[in-house]
Amino acid sequence: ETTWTMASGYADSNFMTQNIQKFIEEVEASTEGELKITLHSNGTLMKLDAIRRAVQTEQVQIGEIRLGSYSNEDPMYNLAGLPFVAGDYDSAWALMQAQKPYFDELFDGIGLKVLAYQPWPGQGFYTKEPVNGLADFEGQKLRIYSKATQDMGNALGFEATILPFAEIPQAFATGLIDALFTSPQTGIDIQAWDNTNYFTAAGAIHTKNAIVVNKDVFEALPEELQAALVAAGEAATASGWEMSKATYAAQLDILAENGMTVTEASPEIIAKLKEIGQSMMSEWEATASPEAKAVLETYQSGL
Amino acid sequence: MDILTITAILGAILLLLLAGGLWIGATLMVVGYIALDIFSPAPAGSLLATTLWDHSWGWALTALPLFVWMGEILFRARLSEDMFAGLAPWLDRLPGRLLHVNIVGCGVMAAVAGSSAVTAATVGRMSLPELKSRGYSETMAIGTLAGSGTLGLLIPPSIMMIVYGISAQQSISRLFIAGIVPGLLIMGLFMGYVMIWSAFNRDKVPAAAERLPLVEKLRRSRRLIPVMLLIFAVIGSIYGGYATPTEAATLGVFGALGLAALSDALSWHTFTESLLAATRTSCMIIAIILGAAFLSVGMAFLGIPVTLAEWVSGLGLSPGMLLALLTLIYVVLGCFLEGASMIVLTTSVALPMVVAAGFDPIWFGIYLIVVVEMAQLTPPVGFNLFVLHGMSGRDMWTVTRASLPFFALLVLGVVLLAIFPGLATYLPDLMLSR
Amino acid sequence: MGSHGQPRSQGRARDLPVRALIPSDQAAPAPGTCRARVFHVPLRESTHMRRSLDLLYKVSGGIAAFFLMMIALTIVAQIIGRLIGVTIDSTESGGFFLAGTSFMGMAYTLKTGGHIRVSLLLSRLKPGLARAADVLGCAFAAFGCAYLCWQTWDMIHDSWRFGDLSPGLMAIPFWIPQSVMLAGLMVLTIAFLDDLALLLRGRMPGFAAPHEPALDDIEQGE
Ligand code: NA
Ligand code: NA
Repeated sequence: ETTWTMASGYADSNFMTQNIQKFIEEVEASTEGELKITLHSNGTLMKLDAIRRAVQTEQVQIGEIRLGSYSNEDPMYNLAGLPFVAGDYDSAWALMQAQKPYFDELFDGIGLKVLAYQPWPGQGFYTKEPVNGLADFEGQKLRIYSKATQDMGNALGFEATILPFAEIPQAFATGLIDALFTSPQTGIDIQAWDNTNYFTAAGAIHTKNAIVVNKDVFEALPEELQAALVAAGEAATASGWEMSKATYAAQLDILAENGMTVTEASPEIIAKLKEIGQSMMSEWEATASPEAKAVLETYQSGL
Repeated sequence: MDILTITAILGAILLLLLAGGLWIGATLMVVGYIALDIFSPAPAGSLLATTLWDHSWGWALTALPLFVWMGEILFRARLSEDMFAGLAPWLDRLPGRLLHVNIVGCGVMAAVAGSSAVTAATVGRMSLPELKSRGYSETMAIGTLAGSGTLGLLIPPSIMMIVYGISAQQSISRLFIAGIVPGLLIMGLFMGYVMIWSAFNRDKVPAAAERLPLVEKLRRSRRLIPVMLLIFAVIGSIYGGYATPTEAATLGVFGALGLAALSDALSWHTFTESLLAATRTSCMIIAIILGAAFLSVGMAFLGIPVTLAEWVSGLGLSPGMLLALLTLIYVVLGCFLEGASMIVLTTSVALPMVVAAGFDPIWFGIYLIVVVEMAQLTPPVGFNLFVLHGMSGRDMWTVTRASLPFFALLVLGVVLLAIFPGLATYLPDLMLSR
Repeated sequence: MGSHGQPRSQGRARDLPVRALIPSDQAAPAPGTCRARVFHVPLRESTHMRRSLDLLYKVSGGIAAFFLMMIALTIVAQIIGRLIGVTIDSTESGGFFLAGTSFMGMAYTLKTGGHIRVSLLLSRLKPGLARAADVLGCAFAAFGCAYLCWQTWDMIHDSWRFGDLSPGLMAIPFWIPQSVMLAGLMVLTIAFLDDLALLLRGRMPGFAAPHEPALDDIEQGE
């Protein structure tokens, strides 16, 4: 009998954590209790961004990571983060399939093995005023957190203001920022209705989290346990997609229940985002290796 | 071995090492190391290095050395002395006189800084020498500072509220607003205590200077203007939407340097000395913060706080009893754990429990913050005690004894919050429609 | 600890002559303070070794202070950048400079008596026993610090091996700021060893130095 410690970064009510709990039950059932996993969710063991290193160095055996955090290391981490590269769940699934072999090799090189992927729901704009067209973004101060969000914000006409996540509520209250581009989940996490009145859904981006296990620890397991883990991981990926889809609709309802006006982005905004996505994609291609570009081609040829 | 035995062993080691004179940060690391190495399968050494690294470059901490530096500059440029000289004539008739500057000063500082260590260290740097040289009771000078320093957590902005808001998924904006009235209430309790104490200890408060005519008072108040301007600029930069609290700290530094230059007190020597002194103070505080962070990683791996909270949840208590027992547990945890870890490690179990018992999650957040404030004042691990010990050079026992009345007043604050929950919930409900 | 050695007039730190930066080779505290009972009056050492070590702490403390100034400068750059519409990110650089300040300043803080201890038991022990506890604590801290250096080296090696880059706009390899942490910890280890040697030879260790508390003239017998 083996017991693993798992670290994850989001609250128990977050669908990603719920999916992880399902995955853990699945593993325990299919291995008949041979492999038990103790989950420490919500960053109680360590911060989300420290989990990858913790798994690499066997501080914990298994953990949840946010792929987008590592965009600086390899362009592949960032591909799903470009607007409208994969703007809906089906294309996000296809992109994930195309990326899989590349990520397997990438993670193998840093001592990790990916068991499952979970997609974030589509994103949108949280604003104080209604958004009908691009003109409504002009001069608004948008909170950004990365090179990609900065480029996007500037191209849409925002003034980009870089801020750590935890400073958001106060920055809204004092007028340091006027707008936020993020998922409904994050909006609910920070109770965005206290500071904003409108959510303009754009979809556009489905970044992913991954459940990763230490490679050596994994390979030291008997083969049938390895197989059980892989199978449970594949099931978790599939259910991750389903839960994300279901959650997205439910979350838009939560925003509305809390008094926010939820609308779809106008065609003008979608067209602009697609245009920005195209230009960010060409920049992406300029920095990507031939192997990474091959992943993009495989994905696009399958669409 | 059961979790209670392990907790008792770890607690005993902690006390022994602290009493034996090992440095506080080092002691906390050793206890965390023992927890991980002996009682858990996790690799203690590698966790030690990564935990220290992860916690040493957090954005939330950057305001600490900056505010401390600002305090050093104001002190060395005699600007803090000017402030006291300007305030003194106005407080002549208030029992306790300049002792109230500690409380109000901490309240004002708390509106800028998000942590209690920063609040106590910055105000203390300026006020301790002034109060001492004017003959105020040292015990009260230290006690008011240690107590009011904790306001940094309750009056927005507050790092603890952000920590609670994120781990309990509650609105940080709501928490910030909810903290204002309880913050003022606790200031009021402290000031009331100072007045009553002064009435009974007239010999320990220096005699009032000669009563000045209004014109003279106003003339002397000119010395207040520079520091007041700086305070308004720093607060205004945050609430006017020009700067984040960390950025405001930087403005504070440059403002203080500017004022020092204007009053001809800025030399290469004051500059480097203030910088080196700020480095020393922040290194001292950060060494303890890092030790506390590692100890809480040990506690998290062992699951000690969660086990305690689960035990309470299994008892099926009435709301009143539940709150009383939780407070007791938090006070005990607070003796050993640093505030943020107390919140992070217990919220997932404690919050559903108190919500089921009918408490408002925002109210519970404010209650937790006040309890964490109490933890800053309880030995052996109490941050404000450490800060005041480091700043005043007085031993831990003296500092703890001086802080004791203010700990009791915080307990009174918790009781008042429990009886009148509206203290915390009225303002956010009024200002933010749900 | 924290007894104040230098006799002072009414508390004005700024009126005093510049305190010697590294007091480990300073004269012992004035008679009557608790330290003087514990340590022999040390002879002023001025060996090559002593001067090099003191220079080491001074330089690392100076670097720490410089990093602290850099936190302020990068944040000002961010504010100005925002006013003129240029995005400059100081959240990450500020954090790295903070780590630099913290670790590079550790030894300097120790040697100027800045790190605090509770020592309730210690102050009630006989001088001989108290000294033994000091020696033990110091030796233990030196050992622990050396161990931490080794673990930090492993962490840096991993950061380099895995090619970890910081997540913000700067994208700098993590091993660079982490190396500053290691450097600071190494100086701290040396400082502990140095203090241990001073203790063993009956001299005043740096950690027992008065560190300019905000209150002066401790009452006798506290
Ligand atoms: Na505050
Ligand atoms: Na405490």
